[in-house]
Amino acid sequence: MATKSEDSTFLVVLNGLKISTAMKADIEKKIRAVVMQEIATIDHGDGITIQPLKSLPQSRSIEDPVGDLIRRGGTAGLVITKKVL
Amino acid sequence: MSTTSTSSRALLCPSARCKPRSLLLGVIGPDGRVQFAHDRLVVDDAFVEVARLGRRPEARFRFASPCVDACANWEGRCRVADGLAFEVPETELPACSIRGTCRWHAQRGDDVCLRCAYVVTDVETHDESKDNNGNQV
Repeated sequence: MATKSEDSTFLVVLNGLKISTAMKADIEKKIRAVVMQEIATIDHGDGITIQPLKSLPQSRSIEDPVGDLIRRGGTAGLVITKKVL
Repeated sequence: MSTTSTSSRALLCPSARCKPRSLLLGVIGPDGRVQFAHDRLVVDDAFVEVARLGRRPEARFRFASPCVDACANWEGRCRVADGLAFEVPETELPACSIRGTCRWHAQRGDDVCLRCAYVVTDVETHDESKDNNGNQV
């Protein structure tokens, strides 16, 4: 088995073995699951601050709706910016 | 700018929670902007489980799931989408896997796509006193 990676493209080459279509599909499914689990660990959070949308003058029209949403524990859009040291 | 105000059905909210069967839109990069996935990546149970081990997933990723009329932001239009009116330097649309079915795009057109990369979903992300389930620690 040979593996190769370039940018975000990963190749797995396995020659010689007679792998059924079902097994190949199962392997692909498991590879995808592993890749997704690795992606799930990504955190580029250092140095990033979160700025509420309502702090932007152009976006104050939604200040009250968003505030109401926060009180309900719902989902709101926010803008994030990199922290200026 | 589009003024679409049709039902939310069949369109995807690009600012959804991390949950199984959501789509992973992208990863929030070191510069604070979303790096969009070109392909539709479906979130499964394992992804959610792993993602919740760290900081809130919604602070690190962007997810999409069906837009719902019951959302507090829905008043015939999405109020969050309407609020994205700040200036940005971008002139090229990001590669996005859901543009054709995105609520925000359906409502405001390409204009909102230029600003989408600056959005993070969870308002409670910065609150270190809460865990991943929003409970006080």
